[in-house]
Amino acid sequence: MNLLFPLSPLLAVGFGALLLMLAEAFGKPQVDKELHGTEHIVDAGAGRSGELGLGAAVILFAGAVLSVAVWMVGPQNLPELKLLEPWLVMDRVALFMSFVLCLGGAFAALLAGGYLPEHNIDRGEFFPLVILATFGAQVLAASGDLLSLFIGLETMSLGVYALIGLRRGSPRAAEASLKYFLLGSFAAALMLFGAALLYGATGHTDLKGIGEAVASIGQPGSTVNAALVVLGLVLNLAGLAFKVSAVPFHMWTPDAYEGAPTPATTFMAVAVKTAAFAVMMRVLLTSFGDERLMSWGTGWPPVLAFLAILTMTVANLIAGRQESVKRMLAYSSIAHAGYVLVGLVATMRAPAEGQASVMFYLLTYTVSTAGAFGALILCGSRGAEAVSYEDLAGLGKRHPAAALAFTVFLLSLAGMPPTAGFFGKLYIFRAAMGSELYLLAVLGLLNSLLGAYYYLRVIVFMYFREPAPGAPLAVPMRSGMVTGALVIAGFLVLALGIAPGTPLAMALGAVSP
Amino acid sequence: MNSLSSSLVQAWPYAAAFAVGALIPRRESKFERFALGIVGLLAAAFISSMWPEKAVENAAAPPMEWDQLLNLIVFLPIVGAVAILFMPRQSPQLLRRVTMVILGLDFIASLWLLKVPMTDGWHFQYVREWLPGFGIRYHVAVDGISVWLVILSTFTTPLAAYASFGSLKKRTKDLCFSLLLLHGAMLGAFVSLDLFLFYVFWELMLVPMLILIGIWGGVEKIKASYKFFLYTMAGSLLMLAAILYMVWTHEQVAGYVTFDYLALSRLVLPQTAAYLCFAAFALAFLIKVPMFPLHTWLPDAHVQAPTGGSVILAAVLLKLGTYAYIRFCMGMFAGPAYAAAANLAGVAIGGGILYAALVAWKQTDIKKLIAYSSVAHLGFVMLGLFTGTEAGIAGGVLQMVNHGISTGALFILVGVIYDRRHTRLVSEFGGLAKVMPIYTACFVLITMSSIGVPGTNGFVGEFMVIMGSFTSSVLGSHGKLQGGLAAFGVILAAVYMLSMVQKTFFGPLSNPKNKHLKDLNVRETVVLAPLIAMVFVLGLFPNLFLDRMKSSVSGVTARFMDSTREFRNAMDTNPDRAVLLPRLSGALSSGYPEDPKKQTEAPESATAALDKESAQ
Amino acid sequence: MGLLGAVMTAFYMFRLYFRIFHGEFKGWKIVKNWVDPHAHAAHADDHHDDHAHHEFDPDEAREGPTPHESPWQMTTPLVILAGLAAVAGFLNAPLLHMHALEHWLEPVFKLASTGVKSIDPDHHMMLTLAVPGVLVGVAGVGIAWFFYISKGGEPAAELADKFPGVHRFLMNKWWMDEFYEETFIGAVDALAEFFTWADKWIVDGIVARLTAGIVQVTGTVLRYAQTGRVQAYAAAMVLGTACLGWFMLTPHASAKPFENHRTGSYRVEAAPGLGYTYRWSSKQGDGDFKFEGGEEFGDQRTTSFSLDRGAERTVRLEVQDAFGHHSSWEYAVTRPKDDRPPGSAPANMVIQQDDQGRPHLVLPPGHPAPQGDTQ
Repeated sequence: MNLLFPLSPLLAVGFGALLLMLAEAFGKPQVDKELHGTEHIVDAGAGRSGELGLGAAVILFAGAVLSVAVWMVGPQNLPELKLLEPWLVMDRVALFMSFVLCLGGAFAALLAGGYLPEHNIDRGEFFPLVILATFGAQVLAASGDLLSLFIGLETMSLGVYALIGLRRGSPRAAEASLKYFLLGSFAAALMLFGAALLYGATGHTDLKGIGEAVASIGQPGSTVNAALVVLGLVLNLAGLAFKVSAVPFHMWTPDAYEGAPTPATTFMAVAVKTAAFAVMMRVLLTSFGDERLMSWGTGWPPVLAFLAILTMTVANLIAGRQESVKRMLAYSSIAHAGYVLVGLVATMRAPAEGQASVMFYLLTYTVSTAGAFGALILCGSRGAEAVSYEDLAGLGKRHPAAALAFTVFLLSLAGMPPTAGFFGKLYIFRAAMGSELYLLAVLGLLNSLLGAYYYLRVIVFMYFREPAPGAPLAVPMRSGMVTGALVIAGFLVLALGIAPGTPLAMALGAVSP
Repeated sequence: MNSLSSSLVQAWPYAAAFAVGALIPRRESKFERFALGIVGLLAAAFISSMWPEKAVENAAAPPMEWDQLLNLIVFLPIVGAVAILFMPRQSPQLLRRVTMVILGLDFIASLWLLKVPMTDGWHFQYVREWLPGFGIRYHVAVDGISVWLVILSTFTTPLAAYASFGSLKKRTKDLCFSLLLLHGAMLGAFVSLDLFLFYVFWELMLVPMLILIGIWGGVEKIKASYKFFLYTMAGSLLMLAAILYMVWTHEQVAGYVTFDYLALSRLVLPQTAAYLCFAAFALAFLIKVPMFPLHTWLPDAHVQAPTGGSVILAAVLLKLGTYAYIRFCMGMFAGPAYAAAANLAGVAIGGGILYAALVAWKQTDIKKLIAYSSVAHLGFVMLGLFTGTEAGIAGGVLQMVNHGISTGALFILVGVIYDRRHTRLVSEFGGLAKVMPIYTACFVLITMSSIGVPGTNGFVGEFMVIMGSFTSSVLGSHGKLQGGLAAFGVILAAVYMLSMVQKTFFGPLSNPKNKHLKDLNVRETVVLAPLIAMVFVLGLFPNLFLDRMKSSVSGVTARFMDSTREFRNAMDTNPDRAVLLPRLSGALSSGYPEDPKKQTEAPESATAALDKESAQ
Repeated sequence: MGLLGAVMTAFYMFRLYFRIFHGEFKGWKIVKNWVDPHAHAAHADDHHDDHAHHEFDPDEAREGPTPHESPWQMTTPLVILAGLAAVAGFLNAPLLHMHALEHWLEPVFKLASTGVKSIDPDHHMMLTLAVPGVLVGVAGVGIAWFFYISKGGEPAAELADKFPGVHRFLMNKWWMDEFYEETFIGAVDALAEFFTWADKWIVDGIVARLTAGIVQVTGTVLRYAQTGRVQAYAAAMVLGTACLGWFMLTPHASAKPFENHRTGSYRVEAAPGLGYTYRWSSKQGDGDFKFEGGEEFGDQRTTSFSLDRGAERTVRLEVQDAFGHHSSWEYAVTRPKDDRPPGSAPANMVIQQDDQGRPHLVLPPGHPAPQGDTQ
């Protein structure tokens, strides 16, 4: 009955959040009164982003390390984990995802530790919220039941709604938060309705049970109503497509990403998206993995393939016309969702490779995107935030290190070798080839060309353009935590690009025991 | 005493070269004379190293091939580029010296490649597992074709770098970094025999070249850099799709996954897939070459790029397209390449040799003119490859080297007047022969080589290409017509080059701004001297080059024809199934990837291996 | 013709020789101890002047010093060249055979020589060719001597007077330059102008500008959809859900045929779908569809049949989904009459001979399988 170790990735993060809240509550707010005036002291964590951020990062990195440790031992060697099924399925996929989620959360925390004080929103609640949202995401990724799925989803989402609106004085932040909240509730309602239909049709809320009931359709004696199952699938797909922000369910994304403080944007782009893909993969393959729902004629693969093409193309086309780098990165994250969807479609005929490619892609995407947002944070400082392309003009000359870091992450997002992004893309499209989705693979690759254009544009502005005289310039900030996050992310980007052997084996090992 | 005297006897050509370099030119300072002498010595060493050594031929055992040599050549610049990142930006002199030393060492290391007789097969081969689970290996080797491109690269890049250091004074760190990384990536692409590795190097070239164009470019530099990047990337993404498809098909047929060139070249794809994959590869390479109608990025890139960038672009980067066409398109898709050759040859002549020559004639910017002349010359190279004859392919390869030397030198020469006048318009000049006689002499000489006057390098290659197209069976009945049209293209080359030379250098010295232009300085002379020397070495002793590439070229030609036949046989029996032909025996198949399942006992799954690890 | 050419060559060369070196000096008036009046001025503005000024004005009264022999720098090479010209013809001749000249470019030609038939010179012909060669040369020299030395150039002037047209024609070099200028060079020039224009606006316009323009315009248009109104966003989601639902709640009948023309056995396998029931019918030639296994929708997912040579058959699949909607799919096949290799079969009737290799199916995403198109 020793659940302590097998559940340690979740427990470390959950208890860590509580500890951090305690630390925040009993600490002493440190505010420079001359600068802010007293009315800015709103909570006990004010002015302590540095230490709280570091604490949060340590907790989340611990979660990541523990995920790997449990992965290494192997869930099959830990029979205690069976006790939690079907509510929590801590298999190797969930552990891999948990690793990626903790990594993403840790990056967000580190970035916030530098960003919040710099931009005068030095509020302590950010960090417990990040950890709790990560916890929700881990639960979501591991959930094996529609109920635990919903709890995880809401734990994650509520935290994120608050994170977006952290900058309370800003109308944009409030607008972004409200938009996300309204549409998120809508999507959650759709999913809940779908879950109800599935329960009605099959009598199960656990994903495996639903899957077995679906498989029994057509067998003699089966009483499962196929029509209700299909309806439930449609509604669940819509809700999940919202979470991964697939076109046309994506429209909240740019607004929410732009209005949120950049570390919160980072968290949304990496952790929320990863968790959503993890749960999408699990639901589709566990509950709707029946041959009759995974064929070209009727099931979800053609739907997802269509969504993938739409998502990649539309997002890339719009991203090319953006003036704000942050908004461009928001669209880029939508486009990357399209690539992951390609991998998800590939599970149709190559289940192991498709899943592994999705998992590996999410890892590479997490480090590259966190790095890109981090570099954007690093390039700006109070009153001189890097927002538009023009702000970055000439940065390569003024601050070569910041520009170099940004370049590396952008190249990774664009999928240039020898970076992580290239290998992730390669794996996704290899899986698509293996699944005989040639057209999808070619379209996806051509889409990376559209993507390359706008990533290149940042590089062009940083290195090739001189700032217009009198134009506002982004002045890079100084923060050990942001720099640290970038160093870690940069190292991972290059390591995953040059020697991705171990994580690849881990991703593949998670799905093919 | 005897050995001393014999070594003295052996050293006399070098001493003579040093003396010629140091004494002949009219130079004031001793340093300049000394520098010129050193250049002369190096050139002599280079040229003499190309002569086949009798001792080597007589020896029963072939000389030892140090298998790490290619790794050294490829990774020296790359490691150097990384090292440059950690050097202080404030001391440009240090950065320049480090760069030159690395490039020089790389050049000397590459000379070692010439010490080995280039028999058919792979030389200096080095194979190492990289990502075994993915079938990706680090596999590099040279043969008689790629060895010349490697040497062309190590020969021209130091010159281009040295020329750049003269004219580009700002942002030296970025410059050194880009040059070194670009150099390493190009070399890597020339020697890779693993498609994944090749793709990595192929893409790795883009960013440094982009930086070269984008930072030091002219007015339209941003447009040009986008164009360069996106054109090349469009092709290479389709190539990646084709690579992935081939790897997957190979896995289906052979039962194991590999990205290796040797294995994939034995794969006969289903008919439609074979043509599509060939098209994807060919598109990637023909964009790089570039061939009509995909050439429009090149004039823009050339005009905007700084001198050093243009030299590298013209001399080496474009050769990657032609080289890769021989290696990958003809090596892996012989059947489709055979079928498409006649039409593509028509495009190479009509769109490359003739069209580009006419467009070049009408250009007012000298650099743009040379850029279009590059399109025309590479049309010749591609024509040679399309002929599928030994003469044509050997001529094509030789013409790659020739074009690298002549056009590289032309870009350096244009850079010389651009540095002085900051314009390249033909109309701004005229009568330069009176104020810059040495410069004019060099320019006219290189022009002759570019036109292909007998005795210079251009003649031999073009002649062989035209000969090849006359005798080609691939081109069929059109071969004679195409050979004739290509010969007409040579005349057009004379038209546009000479009319430019005449307008620029002869006639009245009408523009008063040109009256006080200085003639070549030491740096420029040092850069040009080796190139001019090579013009004559190639022109007068082409067999130095042809002998070394002979067996590889005939091997490539023979395999091209054999594979075409095998492709047709496979298509006749069943066009819808992929087939894996038996592997070749002999030197060529050394380094062939083995089926991992056959080698070891039952394969451990990744999980099992990691489980075992964690259990310990 | 060759002999006539040799006569004329000898004639014009010696005309040149006789008119330059024999007879009177006609260049300028010879003045002893003449000093160049331009010399001083020329030196003064040498650096910023071009050489047009140094040329003689043709109307100027021309005076000059006595013509003198060239300096040694000019004469030495001339002497060498003259010597070589006199003997070079023998270098390659059998007597003094020099191998070096023959083998200079041999490696180049060796590779190319497959296409060129070389004519081996016949050594016996040597003398028979050499003697007339010398004779016609002497004849040409003789005619030139007659025209310009013995008669002082009168016959030439007479001829010019007699045939003024021919004289002018020859004086203008057969109008060859003008002819080229007007036709050939003009055409090439116009072509080059057109190509230059086309390169910028057509080639670059289509490959680069048009594609970039399309991408940018589409991006801008799509960007306007992002209005910022949360109602619009929700509407997009509803629309998306509706499309998903429409696709999922519509039955999609599709099937994959497996053909073997050689044995004449065919099999059609319907794509699976949740809650689907199937009904098969087929017709031969122009007949009516006949149900196989009854009119009821059932669970039978495959059907197989065999055909004689040249026979054709159309198979129809009807699908009913869980909501009771119907959809149908048809497939027509003709077994070829002759036993051609499968490679020559039409592309859409391609055999999947065994089931080991997986079928290569390229499908437009989001759509059911196109009919019978296996790659």
